[in-house]
Amino acid sequence: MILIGTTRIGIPRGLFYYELGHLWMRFFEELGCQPVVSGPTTKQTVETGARLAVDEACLPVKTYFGHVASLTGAVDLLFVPRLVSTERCGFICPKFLGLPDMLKAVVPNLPPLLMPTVNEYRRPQWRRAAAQIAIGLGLTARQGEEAWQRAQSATADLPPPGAPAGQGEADLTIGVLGHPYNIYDPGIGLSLLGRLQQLGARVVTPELIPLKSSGDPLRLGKPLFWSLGRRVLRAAGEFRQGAVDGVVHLVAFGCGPDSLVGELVEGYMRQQPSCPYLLLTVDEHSGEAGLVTRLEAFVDLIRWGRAG
Amino acid sequence: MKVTAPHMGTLHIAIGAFLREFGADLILPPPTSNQTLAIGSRLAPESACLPLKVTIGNFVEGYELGAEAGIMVGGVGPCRLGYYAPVQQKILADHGYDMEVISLEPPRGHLGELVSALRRLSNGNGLRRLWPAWRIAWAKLKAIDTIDRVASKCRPRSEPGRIDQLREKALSDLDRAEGTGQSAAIARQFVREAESCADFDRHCPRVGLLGEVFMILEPRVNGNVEAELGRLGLEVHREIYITDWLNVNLVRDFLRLGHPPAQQEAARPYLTYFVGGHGRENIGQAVIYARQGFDGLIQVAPLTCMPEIVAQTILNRVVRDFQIPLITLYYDEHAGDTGLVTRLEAFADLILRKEGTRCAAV
Repeated sequence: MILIGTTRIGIPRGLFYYELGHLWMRFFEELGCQPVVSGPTTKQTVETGARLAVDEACLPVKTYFGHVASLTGAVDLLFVPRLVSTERCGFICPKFLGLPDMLKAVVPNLPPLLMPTVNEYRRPQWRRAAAQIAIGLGLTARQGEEAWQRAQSATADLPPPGAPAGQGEADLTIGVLGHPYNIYDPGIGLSLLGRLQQLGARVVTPELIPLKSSGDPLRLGKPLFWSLGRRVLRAAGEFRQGAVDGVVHLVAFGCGPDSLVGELVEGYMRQQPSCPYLLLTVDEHSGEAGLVTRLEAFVDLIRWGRAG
Repeated sequence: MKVTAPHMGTLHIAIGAFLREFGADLILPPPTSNQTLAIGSRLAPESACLPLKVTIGNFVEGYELGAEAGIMVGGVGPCRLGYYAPVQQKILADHGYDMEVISLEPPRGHLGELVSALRRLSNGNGLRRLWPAWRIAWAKLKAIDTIDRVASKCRPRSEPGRIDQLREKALSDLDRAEGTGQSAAIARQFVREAESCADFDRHCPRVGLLGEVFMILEPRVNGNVEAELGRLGLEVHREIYITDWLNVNLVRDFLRLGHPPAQQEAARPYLTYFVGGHGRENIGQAVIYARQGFDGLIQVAPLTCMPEIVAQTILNRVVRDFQIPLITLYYDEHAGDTGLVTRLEAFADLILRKEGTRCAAV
């Protein structure tokens, strides 16, 4: 028997938390549950996750495992949706499809999982998923759908968790490309956004600018089927048209889609020499000192270039 | 139009038969070699998966022999294979290879595109030779699978190298064979010869070879893992044979039947959803092997292969539940044969020793 008011629902602070975290939190609050988000990513989180996951998994997946481990014992249920697709004709990555099953295979003392399947490849499904969650918690489908709708309208205008806010004027604007769970998580992205701001730059990310719906600046003939890759590519198109003074692209080592998309974006950006481009690859062994040096050099380069 | 096609193990025998019968002007690239891999690694993105690098190498080598186009399979994701064709096309164009990549997309919803791609390949012959071409190709594929299955059984039970010699000869005969009857006869003859070499009283532990399709099927890239395991005294069963691959990727997809249900059913306690590639099928097959009392599992995959990383993670649990040894081998362009052989020897020793203690206890 689940007692709604006291049910603690764990939400790992990783992967699509950086896309839909505010909405999920609000949804569970609307349902009368108590959402518990794991703490910010620390060295410990990454280490625990890297121990649990297989070596070949990417840093954000390993980190996610670490967040899950930190919630075991502290929550009654763990919210790990199976995100097959979050938009029409788009996938995220196979690792998102098998996420709950991977956790079950390797995380000891895992709390029961709340794992709705969301496959919006053909049609929107989150509402249905919300109804299923509500039923799983002993409420009605209708309560779930209504809570989802209320949560949606309450959080629609919020920037993703971790996105830069309240930036003042600056002499430089740097576009940062990358998957939200990499660029907005300071523990994965080595505080990239904060560091650029410290160096006196204003940062913009794909989620903070309006993107044209017509997708592919590269005109590859076949549309990309990875949603996050698509967004990065579209943002690269906007950035290249002069909206920013330089572009930093953060990818996780071993990321499957980015092994292709990253290369395409790099080639595309390098065609425009007036927009400097820096590609950073991170894994659990990345050091901050190396990153800081490269960012400083990058920002200096842009400023000197401008001084002529 | 002269076309070329990338290699995948013995698939060129069937592709050759199909396209020649179909009327296409085919130029096969030389067999995949270190040179192929070197070309591919130079041109392809650094962290792309190995099959992309190998197939780009094949295309370039085919181009150098005069091919004007390359044939590739397509897909709709989430595995990277589905996006190979546009990436190959772009890389070839960027490096000055004037070559078109013709992608045979899965028929799902794109039947018109598939038909028009086939029409172009037929050199004006239209589709009327499609059926005879398919028949001869299928006969050769069936012969290849028979040869491979029997070879795996006989290898550990006969003089080292003997079976592979016979197999090479049978495959080259098969490549030249004219009709369906002749193909079947070549397979039958191989079976006779191979079985006469083998000592079937000898008990050999059985291991299942799982993983990513290309890596399973391409011995020139997987360090010839199947023959190597045979040499070490293990009888190898593959998760996938070429006819299965075509069955699933062409026939079943075309009829929208989905993947074979037995593997999905067996995978259910561990994974209830597709994860791209053959991730779910691998887990199911691992469970089936374990239930059948197999002695070990080998998973082969290209480095950074997403579906196989999911599968590997979940296979942890299968291994625990069934107490079956598993070795996972990831390959990239730096894979060395010696390192591989050492690991396989250690794995085989482990299984044979365990087998030894079991026999001694009886």
